[in-house]
Formats: sequence, C-alpha cells, structure tokens
Amino acid sequence: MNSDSAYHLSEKQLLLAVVDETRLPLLLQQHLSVCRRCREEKGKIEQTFSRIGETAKRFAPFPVKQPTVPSVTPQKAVWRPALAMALTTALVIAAVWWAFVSTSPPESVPINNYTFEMWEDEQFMAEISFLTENALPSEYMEMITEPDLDTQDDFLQYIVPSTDTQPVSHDWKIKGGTLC
Amino acid sequence: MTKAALLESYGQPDDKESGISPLVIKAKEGSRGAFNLLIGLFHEDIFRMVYYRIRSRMDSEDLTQDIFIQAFKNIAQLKTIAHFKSWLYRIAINRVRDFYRKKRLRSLIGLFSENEGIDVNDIYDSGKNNPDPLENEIRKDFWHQFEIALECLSRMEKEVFLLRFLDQLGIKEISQALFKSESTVKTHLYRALVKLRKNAALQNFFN
Repeated sequence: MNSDSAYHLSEKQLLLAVVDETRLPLLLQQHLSVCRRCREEKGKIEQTFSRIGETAKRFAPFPVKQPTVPSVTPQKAVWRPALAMALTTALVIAAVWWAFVSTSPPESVPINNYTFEMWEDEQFMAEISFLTENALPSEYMEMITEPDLDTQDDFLQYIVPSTDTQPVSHDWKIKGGTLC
Repeated sequence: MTKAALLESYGQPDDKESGISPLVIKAKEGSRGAFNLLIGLFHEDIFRMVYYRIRSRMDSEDLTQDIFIQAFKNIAQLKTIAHFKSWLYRIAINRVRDFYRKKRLRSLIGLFSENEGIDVNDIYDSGKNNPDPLENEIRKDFWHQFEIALECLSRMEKEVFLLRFLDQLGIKEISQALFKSESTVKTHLYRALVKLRKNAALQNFFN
C-alpha cells in the first residue's frame, strides 16, 4: 500500500490515529506514514479539535485574583486534623462508656451470670412494689388524698364505736350486772 | 509577571515543564516562596480548567483558591516530583466533583434548584469587559453550542476530552490525573472524538 493506492483511511481510522497512531494495524500505520492525503486529513481533524480548545481558552475569562496560600505551614496543617480527630474519638468513647456505666448494675464486683440475675430480680421486685404502691393511674392518684390515720380512726370509731367506752347499764342482760 | 519571568527570577530555565521540579522540591520542604511561584505558573490554567467545567467565574475563582490551599497542605505527600502537574489536576478534578455533589445535595433538599448554583449571567461574563457586542454574541453562542455538544458524552468521555483538548494534557498526564490506564484513556478519548465528529453542534468547526 502506498500513497498512490486508491484505499485511504476511513474517518474512524483517522480519529484512531489522532488518539494514538500505534493503535492502527501495522499496514495502516505504514500507509499513513507515506500517504500525503491521509496525513492531511489527520492533520485537519487534529486542528479542528485544537481549534475548539483554543476558542474555549480565548472565550474563558481571566481570573481576577491570584490564589494565596494559608499562613500555616504544611507540617502544622498535618497534625491539626489528626488532633481534632483524636479529640472527637476520645469524646465518643467517653460518651459510650458513660452510657454503659449509667445502665449497668451498681455493684463494682465483676458481673457473672448469678450476680446479674440477682440484680435483675431486685430490679423486678422494686418494679412490682412500685406498681403495688401506685396501682392507679397517676390522674387518679392525684385525686386521692394521703390517708390520715387519725381521721380514719375517728371515722371508724363513729361507725363502729368501741365497747370500752359504753356504759355498764347497757349490759343489763348480763347476769349480775347492776343497773344505773 | 509572566511565567517565564517568574522562572527566570528563581534561576530556572525558561521551560515550564522542566523548570518546576526544583520549585516542587522546595515547596515540599515547606518553602512558601517556591509554592507561590508554582501558583503563579499554574493558577490561570487551573482557573480555566475549573471554568470549562462549571461556567461560573466567581465559583471558579473560589474553587481555584481551594485547590491551591489543598495542594499546599498536601504537597508533602506528593511522591513523584515529575507528576506535580497531573497531581494538581487530580485535586482540581476532585474539587469540581465535590462542587457538583454539593450542588446536587442542595437541590435535593430543596435549598436551590439544579441550575441555581450557576448565575446565568455569569456563564457569559467573560464578555463583560468586551465592549464589542458581536464578539459577545459569538462568545455566548460558542459556550451554548459547546455545552450542547458535550451532553452527548459520558462523564468519563467528557472529562478525557476536556483534559486532552482544552487543558492540553498528554495521555500519560491524563491517566495519572484520573487514576486510569493509558489504554482506558485512549479508548474514552476515541469514543468522545467519534461522537463529537458526528455532533451537529460543532459542525461549524468541522466545516
């Protein structure tokens, strides 16, 4: 294949050559190296894409201000995020530990199954006693006044009087009793 | 001060690519002066790179500032001096991605609409200082057609095309900036060129 050949590279082959000539089959590479027409066509395509780039550059604005570097040195900038990360990690660990301690049994002895069950039983019993003392819903509990033992005793005394305070004459049916 | 003058003032040869290595070494050691020279060399390129992708001058300026701050803070971690340029572009690509991610998030929670992050007037603000109305119209038309043309590309095809033909990076630099193999970059670039060649929006460039 030479420059006089009727065969020339297709547009896709020319585009492939624009990207990388070595990607073409060896025969086409040889043709491209000697065929003026194909080289011109490839050059035109390259120029076209380059012109797009040049036009974009011409139509892009210029930056108004030049960037400035921060006052910290790169070395300082390295440990600051690390320190912040370490502090954050320490805070998270402290929060998790605090949450665990506040919900765990109060004993400082090592927790085994037995002690944990005991602690659970105690908690359960405490819950039962609380429910026993506050059986009614809170709204009803507010309506009930605190029981006054003295008042209750007077009330019972009124309903069911004690026999100790009764006069003897009331026991007239008892044999040997004296009438008033 | 021009880029060449900046390099000459620092005693470097008048070649941006070969002259930056000593500057990068000094910047890695913590030299603010060397890093300022690197900013002088690259800030226009990085600003344009960001502008091509977000089309807002104000946001581009802010992002460019962020990119160089991030680069300054992390330059000690740069392993290969020769890869400084692609490393800088990688930071820029990630920052642009973050910008769009935040914009999507804001639009998702209803603070802004999808297009509200970009001021419509700011898209074409590059022509504000140009008194020629015809030039401004051409400029507007170019960016409009360019935006339409890029819509037919996938995200990676678009990124590779922009890096190759607008940011003028080589295939090797693109592969380093995107963490992709050179073969993958070439494949994406080829697909992008095939699609753009057929695209009606750019036909006036091809004819």
